[in-house]
Amino acid sequence: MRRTPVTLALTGMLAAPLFTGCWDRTEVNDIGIVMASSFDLEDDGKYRASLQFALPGNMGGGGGSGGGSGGGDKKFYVDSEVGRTVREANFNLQKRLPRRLFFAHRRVVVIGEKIARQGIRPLFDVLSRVPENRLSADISIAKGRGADVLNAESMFERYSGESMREILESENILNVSLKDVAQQLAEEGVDPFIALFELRKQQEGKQGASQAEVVGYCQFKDDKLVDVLKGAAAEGLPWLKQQFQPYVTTVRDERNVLYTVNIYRGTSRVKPILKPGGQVHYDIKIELATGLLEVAPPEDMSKIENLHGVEHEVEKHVKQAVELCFKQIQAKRADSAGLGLILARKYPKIWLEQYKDRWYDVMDKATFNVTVTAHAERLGLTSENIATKERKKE
Amino acid sequence: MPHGRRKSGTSSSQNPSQDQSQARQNQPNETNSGQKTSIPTPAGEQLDLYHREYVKQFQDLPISHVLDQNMSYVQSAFHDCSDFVIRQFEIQKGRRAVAAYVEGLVDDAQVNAALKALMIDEGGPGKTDLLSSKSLPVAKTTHVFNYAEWLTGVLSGDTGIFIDGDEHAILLGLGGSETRSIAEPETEAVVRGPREGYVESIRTNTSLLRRKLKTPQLKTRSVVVGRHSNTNLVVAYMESIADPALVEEVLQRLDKIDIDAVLESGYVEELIQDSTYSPFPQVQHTERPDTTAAALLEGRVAIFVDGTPFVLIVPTTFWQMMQANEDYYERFQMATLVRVLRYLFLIVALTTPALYVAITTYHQAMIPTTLLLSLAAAREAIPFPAVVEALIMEISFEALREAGVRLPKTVGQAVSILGALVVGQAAVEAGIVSAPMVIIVSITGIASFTIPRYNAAIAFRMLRFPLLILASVFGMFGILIGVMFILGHMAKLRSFGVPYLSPTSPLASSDLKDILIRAPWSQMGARPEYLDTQDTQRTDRGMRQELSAQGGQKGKQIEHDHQAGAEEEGS
Repeated sequence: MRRTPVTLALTGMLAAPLFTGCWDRTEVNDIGIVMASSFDLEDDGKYRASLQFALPGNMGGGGGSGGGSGGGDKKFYVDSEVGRTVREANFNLQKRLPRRLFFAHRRVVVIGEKIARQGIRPLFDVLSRVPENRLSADISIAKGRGADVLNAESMFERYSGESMREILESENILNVSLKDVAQQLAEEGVDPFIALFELRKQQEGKQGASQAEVVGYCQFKDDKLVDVLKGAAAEGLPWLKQQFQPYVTTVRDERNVLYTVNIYRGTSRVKPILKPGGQVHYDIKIELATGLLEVAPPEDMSKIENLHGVEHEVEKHVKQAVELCFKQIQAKRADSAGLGLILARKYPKIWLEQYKDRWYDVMDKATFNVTVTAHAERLGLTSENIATKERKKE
Repeated sequence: MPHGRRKSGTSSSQNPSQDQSQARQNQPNETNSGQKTSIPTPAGEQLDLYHREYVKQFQDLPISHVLDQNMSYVQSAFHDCSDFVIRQFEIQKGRRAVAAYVEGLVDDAQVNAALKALMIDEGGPGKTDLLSSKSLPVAKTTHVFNYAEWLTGVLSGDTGIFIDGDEHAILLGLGGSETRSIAEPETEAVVRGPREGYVESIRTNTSLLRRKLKTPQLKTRSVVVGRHSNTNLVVAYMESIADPALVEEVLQRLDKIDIDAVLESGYVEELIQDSTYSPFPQVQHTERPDTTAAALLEGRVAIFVDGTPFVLIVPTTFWQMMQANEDYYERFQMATLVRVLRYLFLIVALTTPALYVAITTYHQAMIPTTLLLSLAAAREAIPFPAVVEALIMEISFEALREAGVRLPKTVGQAVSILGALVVGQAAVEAGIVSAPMVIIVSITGIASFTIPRYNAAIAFRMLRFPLLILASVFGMFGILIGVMFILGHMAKLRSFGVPYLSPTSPLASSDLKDILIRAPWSQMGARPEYLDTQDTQRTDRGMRQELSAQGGQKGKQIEHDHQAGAEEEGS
């Protein structure tokens, strides 16, 4: 047989099927897809890595009767193992898994409170060393153990990791990914903040299952958890970060009327002003649009003074939230809002010469004032309560 | 090897050993009929009837002026041919003549009329040429002087007449064999466009083309190919457009063909194409006169082959395979979109199974998470690796398609039911094949049907299997390597000297308006540059400028003799 290119190509093609299965071919059903993972610190100083696996066999997709339907109805399971390093823990776990650990689809990383208090920087080695890890994964802190949060029930999504991700990425939460946190840790003049998950019991129904809920933002000083911004202070953070997030809140006026309002549009501008004597002043201007969701007891919102009243109350409320947040930042000396960064961007030279090295002292003494302008739009029902008794006008 | 055999064949009339072997071979024949297998020539040689090139030998055999001599040649050549008719008659007071024809190839009524005219002819001049000019009411007559021409004429439907004392014979073109009527071509159906397609008779086919191009510029050169089939070929081209070197090349390549028979244009295609081992068709075939005419107007050459409705068009480029004639009849926007769709689905047809296998077995990180989980769920209980699954499905799909083509139409329906039920539904439900795989195979199948030329679609259907295997062994890298090889091969291919990927490689930007898009006719003024045509312009420059200035034909420069407005006013 002559050795023409054709014969060579033919030989190659005929031989190719013999090699199939070599190298790193992995079928989809030979990988254990990690959906979320958590890191905790054990009392003996070892890491506990908990992994949440998807169980595709229980998802009833495609195969119909083929996939052994009627098996377990759980769509995921969590297992964990300890090790001196995170990877060691992972591979201790691998010993009892029939499928290869596959991290490329991990989209949520939960860090236990204990590690967070000790410092999260070391974790970024294991999270970024292997390309299989996604740096775009969302990061969150668990109150208590991370493994417990992973084990939370998920009623809507197929696995709690997915449900946590959806919550983190919803529009009214300031979400950070691994790479955001890494960047904030690396930069001067800003400290990271990460959303905090806490388990809450289901309040109706027999089961009383626990579900993870975002209760606030963890404040980090460098890489250590120092405090949590909760409630009104948490509402203030997006304004200070100049990243508007729509949210719903309730304000009360002096006549004790409650207004539940929906702040759906807004802009904030944080302007640093250098004062003589090296002091920094922040001028925070906020403009927002709000809609009315409920008034209790009912008020006639067609009256202009009522409308202005609501606007005024919302302005007061937002102002308070921002002030609370600012004060907590100052008190904990943890610059979650990146006030230093704002200053550094406006006055890069002065920042480098005067503030960079003693920023937390400067921030402590910084003054600020907040101006809020609220516009009440989208009032919904424009007149009185429809159930109001008819009466003659006087 | 074939070369050597031909050499020995030409001299075999003098080769006793070969003669003997042939005689032995034909012994039963001889005993039955008692006829000779060779004819003695006037020069005393024996003409071997079983010689592979007997037609060429007959060229040297002149027609005798002795009728009996002619009779004996013809009778010995056509012994045992029950469809061959020899009719002896007399003209002009006892002058003997013989008419010979093949039954079924001629129109009996017309032959009768011609013979009648000859038989009642009285006292005319004796010469055959005068006879044909005076007393033969037949439009197409040919005078031949040797047996080669006489034989090919009679065998392709002429009536041959020998007249005693004449050194040439007359061929009467009274062909009238049964042919299929013109119908819509099944392989190239259109929504808008002519419904006529070629048939098996070459003269009908050339007439169909002539009806499209009523110009003496349309040349139809005749070539005969096939030692036994003596198939008539017609090479058609536009004299003022086609590159003369190309026409010459085509004629010479056809001249080199030496084969016993040409039963379909596929024989010719394979014998004149540039690269035998390429999976890509380097010759386009069509059943449509309009497609042929359009190709000739681009400067290409068409080859008609008698006995098949498929006409060959050379040179052929890859992009031609992605174009349908309807692109030019339908509005240009639609045609452009359809072309984009075809290119897209071409890639789909070639790579989808390979991509599926590569991504699900090597690059799971590339799939969106939820999709990966669905795929994983579907594949959970599948016993085979993805490659094997893909191969099972693709091969059974090919089998199904082949079965559908070959089976009688009534059985075809049963096949499709079986295919859809067994291969599709049951295999998925039994957990042997995953549902995504069925989807992939169906998409691939649909995609391969969007390629307008069947022979180009075949090339891509074949190539997706090596790609599949490469993908299963090397993942994405394998696909890329495979595609690079395919592209490299295509860039290397030539069709009658024209690069296969013209005009994209080598790039001729002015030709791209008929490749990437289909520009409106008002913009397509030039013929393809890469074909090196003599007359390069299709449309008048003035008309083009007027159309582009007005954005269409608004009639601004049309002077009306009749003032419609004035008439209305008057009434």
